[in-house]
Amino acid sequence: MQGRPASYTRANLYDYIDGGADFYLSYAFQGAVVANYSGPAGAKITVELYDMGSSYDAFGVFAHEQAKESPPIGQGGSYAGGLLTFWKGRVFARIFAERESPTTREAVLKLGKAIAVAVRVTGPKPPLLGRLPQVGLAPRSVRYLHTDTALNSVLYLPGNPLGLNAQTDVAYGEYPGAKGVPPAKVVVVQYPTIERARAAFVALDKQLGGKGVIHVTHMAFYDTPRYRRVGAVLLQPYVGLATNAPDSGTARRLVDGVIAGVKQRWRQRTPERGER
Amino acid sequence: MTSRNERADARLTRRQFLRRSAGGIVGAMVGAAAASQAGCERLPRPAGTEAPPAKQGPTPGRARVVLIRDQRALEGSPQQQERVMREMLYIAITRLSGRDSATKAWAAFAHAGDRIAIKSNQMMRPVHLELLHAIHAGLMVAGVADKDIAAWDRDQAGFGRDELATLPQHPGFDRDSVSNLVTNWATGLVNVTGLKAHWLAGIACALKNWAGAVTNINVADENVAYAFHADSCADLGLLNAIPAIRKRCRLIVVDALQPLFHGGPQVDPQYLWDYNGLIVGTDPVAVDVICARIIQAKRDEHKGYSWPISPPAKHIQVADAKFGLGVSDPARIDLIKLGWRQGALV
Repeated sequence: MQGRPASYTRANLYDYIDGGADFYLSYAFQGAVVANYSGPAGAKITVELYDMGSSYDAFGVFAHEQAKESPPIGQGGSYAGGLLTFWKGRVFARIFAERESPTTREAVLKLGKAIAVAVRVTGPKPPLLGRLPQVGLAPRSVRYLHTDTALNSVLYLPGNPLGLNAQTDVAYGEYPGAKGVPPAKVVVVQYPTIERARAAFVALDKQLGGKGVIHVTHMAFYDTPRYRRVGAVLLQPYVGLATNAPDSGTARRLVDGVIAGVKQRWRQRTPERGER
Repeated sequence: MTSRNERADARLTRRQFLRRSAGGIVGAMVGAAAASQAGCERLPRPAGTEAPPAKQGPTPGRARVVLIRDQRALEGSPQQQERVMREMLYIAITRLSGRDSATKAWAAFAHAGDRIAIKSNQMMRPVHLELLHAIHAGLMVAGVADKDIAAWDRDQAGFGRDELATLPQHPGFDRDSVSNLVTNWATGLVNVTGLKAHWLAGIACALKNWAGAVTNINVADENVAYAFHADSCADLGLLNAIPAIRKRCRLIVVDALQPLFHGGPQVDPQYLWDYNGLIVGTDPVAVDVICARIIQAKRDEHKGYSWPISPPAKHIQVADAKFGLGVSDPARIDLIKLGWRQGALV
């Protein structure tokens, strides 16, 4: 190890990653430790360990970017271009070499495995992910987040009509279609109260060109230039949204998939919040 | 759109480009004894070499932006890379200024007696040190003394070439939360930033770079000196509109050598690529328009379908419409493309 590890809290994470800090702060980030190591041929290897407060949020930060290569480290790993990320329990780890080479790659992966072993407690993924339609879901596209700023990087909804904040839980996934065509996207939001879910559905309906009135079926479909075919459903305290569907049939299937996922949840009656 | 210059440059062969590059650096070096003291090499001037042909400055009402790329920019030792970057810069600012030699071009942006503060970007994806050195050398060609050239980001600064790597000084901020370098030291500013996507602002280039020139800001915009984070940082232009910044910034250089097309500011290497470019201008809005076009084109190329910058970089249009900082209409931007053309994306 080179020098002493540096530690950061919610108050000073900006000092380390500037505007990137807000991404972690949009989750239940508790603290981070950063240490530098001297790797093969003197190459600098940096280890960042983030305590995300829960396994749900550790997974959420990890899932934000996943490379094609997924080494079996921790409860899920990702490696590309000298950067290894993995999550285990409430820990999210980022380990990267200053310059990638076969030897630094080996060192980074070895270091990652050792750290993952040292993190003894595992934890579950967010059950909310089970509310996403499973058929056609691209596994590496799955996200778990809370705020509109985090959602905006994958699906931009100006003005935050879904009313997202630190108290909301969001599952996101993509559903690839024909080659050369953007994938359809599905968002499932769980609100802390039924009232907030209802208010979000009304605001969303208004933004998408509806009349601001909840349909009897609690389901609505739209044809928009920006998001192509869109379907939305209110299943209190959830709101489901399918965008960028190539046709109305796909939008309907995705909304039906959300409904099936929520009904499954209702049957299970297992705690979805409060486990963090 | 394609300007006359752009069409002409498109016909440049590799050999012609290298010959012009050599002319640019040599022209700039002649008579720049001070530069050699700062680590620059003094080269003999071969007969017949001359600066690239560009006899006119920007057209009124329009913005000129120069994109220059060189396959060699990231090859070899740091000294070799710096040499290539100096060549690229000399050619670019000659075309930008419309002067007929690199020496005169640098003189359009600085002169003896100036104190020039280079607003660098050191967080997450620092601009290449070799580029800072190349700009330093150019400023010395214009007659600025080594000790009168500073580079800084946030509260870390370095004065003179030897301190550019470590930025050991702490200049502090004035009572308006603006860096003392801007308001109490510099007579001129150079905005040197990276080309990168940004998860809050869409892209973080010329306009966003000034966030590191002020203090007392936060993403929630609570009790801050400058509130710009709302609505995807739409009001970022208010930083560039700070009178001392607006008045003193003379040149913008974007390090587009290894841009980041997704996920910034924290770097995920899978979204980096070797673009080997520099983007140079004086209009921060027009420069950011070009930066956004490159990032967008790379994203589309990467996915094989339209992958919009998300959130959209709306601060670019707002900087024009609300703050009057420059030209956001692509039809009024003259993009001059020089050098390596493959994969230029714009």
